[in-house]
Amino acid sequence: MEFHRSDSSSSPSSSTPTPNNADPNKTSSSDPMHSWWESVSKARSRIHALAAILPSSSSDSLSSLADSDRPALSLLSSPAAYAAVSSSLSGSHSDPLCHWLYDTFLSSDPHLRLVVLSFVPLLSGLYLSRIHSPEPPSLAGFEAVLLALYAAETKSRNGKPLVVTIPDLSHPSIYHAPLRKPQSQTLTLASTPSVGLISPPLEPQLGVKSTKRASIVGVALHSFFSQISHMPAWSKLEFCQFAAAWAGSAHCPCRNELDRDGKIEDFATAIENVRIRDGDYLEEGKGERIPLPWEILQPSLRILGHCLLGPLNSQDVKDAASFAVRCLYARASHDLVPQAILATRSLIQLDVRTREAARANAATNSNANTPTKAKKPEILLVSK
Amino acid sequence: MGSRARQGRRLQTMMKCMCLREPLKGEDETVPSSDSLAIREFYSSTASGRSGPDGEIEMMGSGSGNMDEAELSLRESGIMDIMDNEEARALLGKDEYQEGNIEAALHVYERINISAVTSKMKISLAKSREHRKKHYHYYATPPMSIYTAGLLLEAIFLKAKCLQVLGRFKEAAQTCKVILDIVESSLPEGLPQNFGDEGKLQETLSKVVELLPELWKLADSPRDVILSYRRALLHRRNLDAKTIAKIQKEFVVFLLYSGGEAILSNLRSHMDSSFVPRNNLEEAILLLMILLRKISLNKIEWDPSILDHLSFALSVSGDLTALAHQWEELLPGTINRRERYHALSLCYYGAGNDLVALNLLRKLLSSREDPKHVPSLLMASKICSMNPDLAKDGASLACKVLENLDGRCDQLESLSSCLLGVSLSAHSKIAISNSERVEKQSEALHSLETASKVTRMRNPPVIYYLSLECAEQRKLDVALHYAKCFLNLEAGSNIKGWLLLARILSAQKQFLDAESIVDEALNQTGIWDQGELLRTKAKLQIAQGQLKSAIETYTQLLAILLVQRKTFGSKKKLYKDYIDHARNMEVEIWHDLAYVYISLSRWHDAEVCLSKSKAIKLYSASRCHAIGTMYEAKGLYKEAIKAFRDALSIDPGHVPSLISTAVVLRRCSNQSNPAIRSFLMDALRHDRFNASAWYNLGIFNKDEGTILEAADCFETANFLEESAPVEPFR
Repeated sequence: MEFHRSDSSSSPSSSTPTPNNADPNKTSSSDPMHSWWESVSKARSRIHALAAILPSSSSDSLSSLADSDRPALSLLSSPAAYAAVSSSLSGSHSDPLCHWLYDTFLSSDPHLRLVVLSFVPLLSGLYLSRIHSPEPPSLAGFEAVLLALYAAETKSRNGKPLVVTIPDLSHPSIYHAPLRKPQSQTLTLASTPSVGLISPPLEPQLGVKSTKRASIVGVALHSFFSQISHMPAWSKLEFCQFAAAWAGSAHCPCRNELDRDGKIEDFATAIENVRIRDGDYLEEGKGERIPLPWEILQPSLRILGHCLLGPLNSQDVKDAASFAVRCLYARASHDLVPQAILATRSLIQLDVRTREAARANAATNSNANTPTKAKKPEILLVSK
Repeated sequence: MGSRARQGRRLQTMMKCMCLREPLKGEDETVPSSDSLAIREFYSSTASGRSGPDGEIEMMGSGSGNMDEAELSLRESGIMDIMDNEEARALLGKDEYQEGNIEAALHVYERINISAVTSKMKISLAKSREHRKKHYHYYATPPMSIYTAGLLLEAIFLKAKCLQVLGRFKEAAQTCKVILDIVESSLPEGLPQNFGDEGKLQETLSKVVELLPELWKLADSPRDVILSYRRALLHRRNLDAKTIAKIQKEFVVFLLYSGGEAILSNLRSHMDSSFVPRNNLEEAILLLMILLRKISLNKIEWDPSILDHLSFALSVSGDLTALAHQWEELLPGTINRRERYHALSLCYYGAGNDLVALNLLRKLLSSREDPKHVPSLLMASKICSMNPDLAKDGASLACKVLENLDGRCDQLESLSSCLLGVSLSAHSKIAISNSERVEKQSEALHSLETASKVTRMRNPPVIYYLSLECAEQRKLDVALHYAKCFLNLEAGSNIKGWLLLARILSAQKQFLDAESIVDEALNQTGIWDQGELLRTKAKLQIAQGQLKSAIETYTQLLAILLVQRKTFGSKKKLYKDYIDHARNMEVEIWHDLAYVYISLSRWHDAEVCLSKSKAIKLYSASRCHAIGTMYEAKGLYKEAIKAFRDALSIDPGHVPSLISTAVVLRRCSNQSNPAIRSFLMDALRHDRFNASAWYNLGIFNKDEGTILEAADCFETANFLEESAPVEPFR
């Protein structure tokens, strides 16, 4: 029994939570019908604008998307539309598709914003690969979209850093009571909790300064992760492929170091590892090795964690993530980035364990599929 | 109760016959229970929402016809008069379910009037606890027996399973929720432990609690997933430790990897002195730490994935010290000792505790552990290479890496050659003899060149260190080339690249070009990161005699640092390193500005700068030196010497103070003073590339009459002076 949603229905349900960066003033309306129609009209308008930009071969399929009763979500769920946009993007200052993405994001419609977010892997992948080429072309179009995402996130964070307070188990929490109560109030006050910093406060940026590029791209990736449960499979797949390429370790033996460590591979594992090792998931033209500062690496790891272990992902996405995380492990080992080594190593070990469990279950299921007549003796034996 | 059980069994036998299957031989033969193989396989294949195709489940399209006939037969036989319709339907549905007739079973279950029986079940369940507590054996008969209530709850659960199989996940979830609503309203404190018929009830309840979040996942409703997990964990259900741990683990996986942020509202109601997580990562980390604690207390079995999830969560959270503590608290034997040492060293290195990490690595690399563990050798080498006192060890470790690489990874070969070069370079700065220093420098350059060739000049850190080494060896044209390469490789994103390029140009006395590089870098940098750039710009302006412009640049920089201090000062713990760096820079800037005023003989302004510095940092060798310089400029030599000696009391290796002491001593002495040479040699031991030290040593030798040595010193001083950057390269 296949319980995964098929790709064609990967759109958010009708009770989609509002994206973090939506403007609350615009989403509230006293007339729900009016609000709904306004949203539909806006989406149809954006789709028609897109059809005018793309080659005429896309017009028919885009028209059918516009005619649906939830056009934005239909657009988000359309692999054909995604492919058409992907093949036409140039990223220059005059790129009409970048203008379309920019204007669509500024529309503030939550569903339309999801459409723009679904292109974040492609935008960041192409942008970072081209910016690091020997003679970088004009990429002002990409930068405009990335800056729009950055501005929205900056506004929503309101100058505050993203932090994680690490709990201290000697104090009670909603999920547990400590074995021994704290000694006194003084000691309680003295022990301040340790805090992890996910992201420092964001400074407003009017343009992409080279030393702030990583931060701006990192914020776009963070925004993508925040809505990743609504993202289509092909968008996630694209990210996995770019991440593997960025690491530049696709053909390095370090990639499979943890898979080799202390284990004798059985035949099935060997076959699967050969597929992964040979880079089946590394498409041509998906960029090349680039510097990977923590601002980019951290959200990338969270995205890969989702693709690998999150609910309802297709096997293709999982396999691509499996490959990418090993590439990033090799890269982290080469650059000696300890937090990246720890994170990627953990993901690999979880992946190995998950695949082993799945293989064991498959073997059990194979037995379960024995023809019906074999069940009867079992039942009769129990009866006796 | 026994007679009712017998009646139920007879009914099952009859229903079995009426399903048109082979009749059972004896009336008393046992019907297969829910523990039969087929049912277990069904549960295992569907309960967890496991990925991958499942075994195909038989569908009986015409089941409804048989169902109606069966019910008609039951009615005609008069058995229906003995028990409720709902109970009969529950039994009938279960039989169909166990036979794999999902649609038929669902059809039966849908005929159960759940809303009608709900109130009866609630009363019955509530009274069961009262009954147990008060031991009233003569209590009035409840409207429904516990057995029947359990049977009906199981029926509702199996209905949810049918809906799940048919892909109607949302309905399935809502059906499960009905069960929880019933039980929670009837028994707020949960079921009593191991109590008679309620054992069956507890089993059903456990399955429902586990199944509900999985159904919401399949229904693509993340909000409901989280709420149902919290409900499972926060409501008292007397679930066993194993079940609770299983739910906690699954919740953690959802929190960490599903994306999106948790709903906070339903956790707020627990606000008291308890820790309340405010985002997914915090909640996941809390649960994982609790699970590890349970393992330490032997309440649940060891599961390595818990530590992996926690490592991931704390790594991306940026708090590796907390992760180190978790590894340290593991009981001996839980984890392989070598793996533990390696993980801990990564944690402490990432947390900035280099020496602790190095000690752990040394344990791992000891002869009785794993002396050839390449990842550890590399990390140890890198730590040592950044510490001048450990540079020799760094070089030795890097050589060992190169010996143990199997030649398959160019990147690691490049890295280890780079670390060897950096270590040799650091070591050369403390070499005893001149010949040893030259040898080390030559080897360093060779290693760095090897490192860059192995990766075809495409590895930015290697190019950076190569450029730096060339610059420090005063091979400035080559250094300039490599600095430009580094800047291009990083697409201008690394401030270090801009700074190095500007300083190399300043060493070549191309001040205008250097200034334009700095200006471009300022355009490409956020305001909080402009400190070093502005300081370099001011030094360039001073070198060109533009003292007024330099003062303006310093003033601008001080304004930025002031705003920065106010902005980040309120979050001291979070930005400690950042604040410390800014504070130290502010002190040095006040000193730089003081020197400018001293050179202009503006004593009062200089004193204001120095008092500002003192307000920030009480003890500073650099400030004492500035004070001494001011006294020297005023001709107050005794006071100057005292100030310089104060500086050396704070920092015995403060090179400017060593040199200034020597200079003033020479002016005060009519006769030869051996202390002068001692101070200068000490300065050169700390900074061999200090032109002023060489120059003054030349003066000393000239006064002593050793003309050849003096000439050598003057030549060196001239060479260094002509190629000195306005700020140190590193």
